[in-house]
Amino acid sequence: MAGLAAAAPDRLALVDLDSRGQELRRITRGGLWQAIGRISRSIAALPEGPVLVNPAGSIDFAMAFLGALHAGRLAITAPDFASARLRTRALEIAAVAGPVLVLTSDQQVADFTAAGHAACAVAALDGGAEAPLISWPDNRPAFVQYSSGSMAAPRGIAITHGNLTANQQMIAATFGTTEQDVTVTWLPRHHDMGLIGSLLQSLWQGLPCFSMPPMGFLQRPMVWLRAAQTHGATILGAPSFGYALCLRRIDPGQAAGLDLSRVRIAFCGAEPIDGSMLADFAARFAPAGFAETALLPCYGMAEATLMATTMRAGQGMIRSARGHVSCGSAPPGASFALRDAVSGLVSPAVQEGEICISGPHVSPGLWSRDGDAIHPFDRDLLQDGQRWLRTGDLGYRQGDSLFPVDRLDDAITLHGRTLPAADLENQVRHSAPPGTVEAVAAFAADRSVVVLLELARNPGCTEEEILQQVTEGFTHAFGLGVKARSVPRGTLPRTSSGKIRRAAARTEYLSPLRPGTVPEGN
Amino acid sequence: MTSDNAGLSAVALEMRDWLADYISSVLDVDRADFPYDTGFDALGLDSVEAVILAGMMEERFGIAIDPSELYNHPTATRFARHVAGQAGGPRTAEGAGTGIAG
Repeated sequence: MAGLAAAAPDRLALVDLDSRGQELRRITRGGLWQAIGRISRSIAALPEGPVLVNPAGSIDFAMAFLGALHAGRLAITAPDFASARLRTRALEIAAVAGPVLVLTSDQQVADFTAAGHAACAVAALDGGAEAPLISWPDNRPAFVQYSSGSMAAPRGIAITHGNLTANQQMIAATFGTTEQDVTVTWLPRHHDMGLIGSLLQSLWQGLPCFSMPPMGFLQRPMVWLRAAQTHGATILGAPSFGYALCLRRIDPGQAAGLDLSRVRIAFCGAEPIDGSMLADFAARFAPAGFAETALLPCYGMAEATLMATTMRAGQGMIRSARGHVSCGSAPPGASFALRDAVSGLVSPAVQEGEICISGPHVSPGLWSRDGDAIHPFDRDLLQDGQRWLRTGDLGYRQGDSLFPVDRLDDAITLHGRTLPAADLENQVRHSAPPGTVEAVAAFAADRSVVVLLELARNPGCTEEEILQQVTEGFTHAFGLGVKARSVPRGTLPRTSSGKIRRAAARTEYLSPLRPGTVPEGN
Repeated sequence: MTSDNAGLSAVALEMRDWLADYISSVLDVDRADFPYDTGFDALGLDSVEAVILAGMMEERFGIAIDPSELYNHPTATRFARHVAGQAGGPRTAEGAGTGIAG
């Protein structure tokens, strides 16, 4: 990065857009690099301890984050106060991490101060001389990202300087990112996809990155794509949900009015990828010049810094006969393999099992404030001298290509077979008369497969007919018996984002009162 | 479960109906017996879905809506009254522009 800034200090590095796509602020490579040097010097003068960074805007965020890294301080990433929930989250992270300083935006300083933290705006540290460039050892922790989930049991994933460098090189090699590329992103920077995949990759490879607020995208997805057109974006990225929102909100007429012909990569990861939805996205935006080959499914997680496996640029999407989306192969220098459920061994010969990853991008473990220590992951596995991280995800392979399927915790093992719950649920939906099943949870109980269904309000046929068709279709497809039950609408346990919680549904089903289920014989 | 007009203007009633239509289409809430005076939180409207709702309502009514106002006026009746009160004046160029296609 220092080299890129020195080679062409006047080239554009970062641009902040508002939620309507209007430019707020821009900075060149040279300007950014100098600010990082000055902020780094101020940070280095602080007492020992981590620095929490959560400014709104990509420019302040980059200055704070990279300023901390160059000072050799552990950076803790947290969301800006874009909503009441995110504000609470950021304050919880600060309470758990105990930063020596919170580097934030003007309007967020008071809340951190009131909570007992030393806090200041990024601009307040941006003065004085630049710090000399220091190369920190690869094994030194660079930053901590708290995984989503309860802060009662915080999981602060530590990423080292070596992890970061390795994964940036992997992304650059597989995406083929160059200075000629342009990124337009709405991804939050306190999560791996926005931080590693968009912001840092852009700075690493020297391409301009235009950032808009995530809330602005959720409210007006068209702003994202119009900004992509205006600024000539060649690289876009989002979880499956982001592309689905574009489909929901942007009709064919509006889509046809755009020009997305320069987009060569639209990466998609971070949650199970819905292949038919992505194909629909490509079809909807084809009149705007969007090339289907730009679709780039990938698989990753914060424990892998970001990227674990990926399709290569220009390959497009590949789906298996089972309907799953290929997330490609491991990038150069990294590996993935599957762990056999019976033998417990990780091997390239295993065709289906728990996805395990290995390489210089894999985090050493969880950071603990007590003693500033790193604790290895519970799911680490040492086999023949090689360290593998078990991801908890189920997948299968075809050659070198990985097809992630589901969370392993939700897979059903019955009669020596491991069946992904999502596959069983898809079969249920497929077997039932169209439009009759609103929600379904599949799990193993009482030595058989149980599926609980919430039926549509006016299904147009009887409940008995629906359950019978489901049972027949299921038995035909899997050769397994199934207990299909209807439950009242809205009674299956769900996460806050509406995802069915299968394990909780199973617990309820097995409890003596069986709340929410129709008793046998009805 | 008020089915009365709660003293709302015609525009506010139209907005309240739209909110009920939209929320019952994405959450498990009965449209026929829509709880106009129950908090959005209690209906299960999460923060992401609330922002999406704000965007769709902007497009439908050609006005600008700040999603955080959903928390300050957290029922269909109250939010409709609030937004309709703001929309009473001439539509701003900015608001009309959120038809997004434009």
